[in-house]
Amino acid sequence: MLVLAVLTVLIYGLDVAMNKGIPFVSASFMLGTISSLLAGYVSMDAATLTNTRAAQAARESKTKPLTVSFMGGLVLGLMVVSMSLAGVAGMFYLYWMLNGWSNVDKVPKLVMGFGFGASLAALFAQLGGGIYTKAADVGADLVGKVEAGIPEDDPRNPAVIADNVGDNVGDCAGRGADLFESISAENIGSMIIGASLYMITRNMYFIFFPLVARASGLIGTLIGSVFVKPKEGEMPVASMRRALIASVLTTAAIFYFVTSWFGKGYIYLYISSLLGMFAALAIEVAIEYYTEIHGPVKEIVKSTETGPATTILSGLAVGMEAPVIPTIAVLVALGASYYLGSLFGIENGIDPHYAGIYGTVAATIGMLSLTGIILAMDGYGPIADNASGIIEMGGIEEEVGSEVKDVLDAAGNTTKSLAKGFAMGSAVMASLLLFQAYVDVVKITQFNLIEPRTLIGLITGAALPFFFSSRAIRAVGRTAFEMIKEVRRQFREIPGILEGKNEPDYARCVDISTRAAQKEMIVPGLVSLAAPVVVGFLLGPVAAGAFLIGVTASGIMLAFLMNTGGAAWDNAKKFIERSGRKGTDEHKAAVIGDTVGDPLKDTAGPSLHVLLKLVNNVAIVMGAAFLMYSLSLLG
Amino acid sequence: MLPWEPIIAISVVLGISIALLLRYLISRMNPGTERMVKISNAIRKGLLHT
Repeated sequence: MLVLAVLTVLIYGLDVAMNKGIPFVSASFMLGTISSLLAGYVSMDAATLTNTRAAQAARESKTKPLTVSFMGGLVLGLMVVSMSLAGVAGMFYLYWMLNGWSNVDKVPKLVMGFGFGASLAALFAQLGGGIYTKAADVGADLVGKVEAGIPEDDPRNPAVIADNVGDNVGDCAGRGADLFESISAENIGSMIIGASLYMITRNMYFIFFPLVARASGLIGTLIGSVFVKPKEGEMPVASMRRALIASVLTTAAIFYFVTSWFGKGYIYLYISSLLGMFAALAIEVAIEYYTEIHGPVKEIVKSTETGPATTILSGLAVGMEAPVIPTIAVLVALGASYYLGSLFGIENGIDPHYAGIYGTVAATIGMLSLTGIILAMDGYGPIADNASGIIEMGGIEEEVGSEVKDVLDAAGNTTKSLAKGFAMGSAVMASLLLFQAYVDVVKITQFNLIEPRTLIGLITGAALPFFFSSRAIRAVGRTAFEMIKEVRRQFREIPGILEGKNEPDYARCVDISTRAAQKEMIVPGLVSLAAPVVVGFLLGPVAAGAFLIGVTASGIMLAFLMNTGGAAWDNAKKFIERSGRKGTDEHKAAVIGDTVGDPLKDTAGPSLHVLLKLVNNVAIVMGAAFLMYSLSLLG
Repeated sequence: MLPWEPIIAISVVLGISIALLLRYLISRMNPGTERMVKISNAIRKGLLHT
């Protein structure tokens, strides 16, 4: 709250300097923060309402829990996308009205505080959620499963509720806030770039297209979700894939209609938006290849035969290879859409460079139009995880059979991994788009890498994701240590827990995770906020731009490495368990790999997505101040 | 009114309405045994605490 209050006062300083004291940017910042937190709350509410009903549905049929879990996920997906669209469009129309209807081009820059606020809340939700969930998970597993020998989700384990709460904090609130921020910031960044084209063409649709495209994606999600009808004996992921494909096709069809409003040459922008959707699908396929039971995971399984060291090495190698295909997919989409956009520009007499940038905007919008359906699939994960836990803790496992529980678990892992892949892809596209918006705000025309300040900015930016990840991983280690001590204490001091005669103190473990997550996220959060500001004021707006590229380039590679490597270790362990080798030396090596990968894939990796967008948003909001300060130094 | 404004307005209203309707439908479903509800409430309480 203190950080929020200080930032609001600082941003109001910008309003005083640039908006005659009318709190346009500071009010949009506050609303963005509140909306992002609300998105996280709505996500958790939907998940906790659905989990026990999905578990109950398992008593009625094998397919019903999947449908119920997906319904809960859909509430989350629809609410997050609708709230983002309502927030950005609502603020835009309000500011447009207050500024005078003829000043439409100035309005997107006033709404940019909304993206910054959403980023800030998302960082704390994703980072804090990640620390919370992994500390609880590691604490529950190491003492409960390994030391006491009780099964996962056993009600005798004091950390079991914290573990289940953590599933929701990380995957619902964290991812909900992350993607809320992605689509909000991307919408605003696109509108800022659109405003530049409006100044050239006087066509207002360049500003509004991002909002119309988001609305089209929402309709595509609604239509696609009808196709989630799991059949008996079919893997649940299959029905969700049908929904994803139906959403892509429907959104693509609506996009044809909405891009046609650009008039002559619209087909170039339409194809650009399709390229964004294909890039999203290509990333999904690549992530699935690296994390499901294919060559790379089998390689890790094989390496467990020679111990933990080779298991770690092969997992790292898989993680390092994983960014290659997604990066190529994103770069091809960006390069081709830039070319197509410039063709659109040539046909309409617009500067091909500006029109090319708008082509990349169309590609980013295309990719992020799938957010609703992806979030619905992502929301399925924690709901299914919790339902599975409730089946076990509620004592109905024998009644429903372990098969339903396993199917719920397996589908949850796959959808979570797909959503993470999408979140990574969208983070790259959104941060590159936000970078273009920053360039537009500070009017940079070129970067000179021979200039030492630019180089310093670039390398400082490249170092930030490493520092941030180090703090996040350490935080999990420290909090897990506290959790392990507490679980051991309860087993030792509260008689009859392991015999099931006495109930453990679940609230104490929830409290440890909560307090530690809140404390541990302060330093990385503040450094992420301060770094672009310090670079911008000390080295100037060009160096700050180089800093943003440095953060994006190294951050995205690191995020792919950690998310994919961690998921590959996790699935290698699960493969060994399913093949009946639990307790063997191979399994022990795989457990070590999984434990190393846990904070990477669930804490540091997902938080990096938000970091990339946050630093860009900070730079966009502060860009004009960087420029004014550097001009004042030149006299 | 600009030609694209109704699309934005309708999709926001539709998205929020359907989400609320789904939430209502889920809340009307059988939540299971008393023990299951107790566990779910403990998770919910833990979440609110965060």
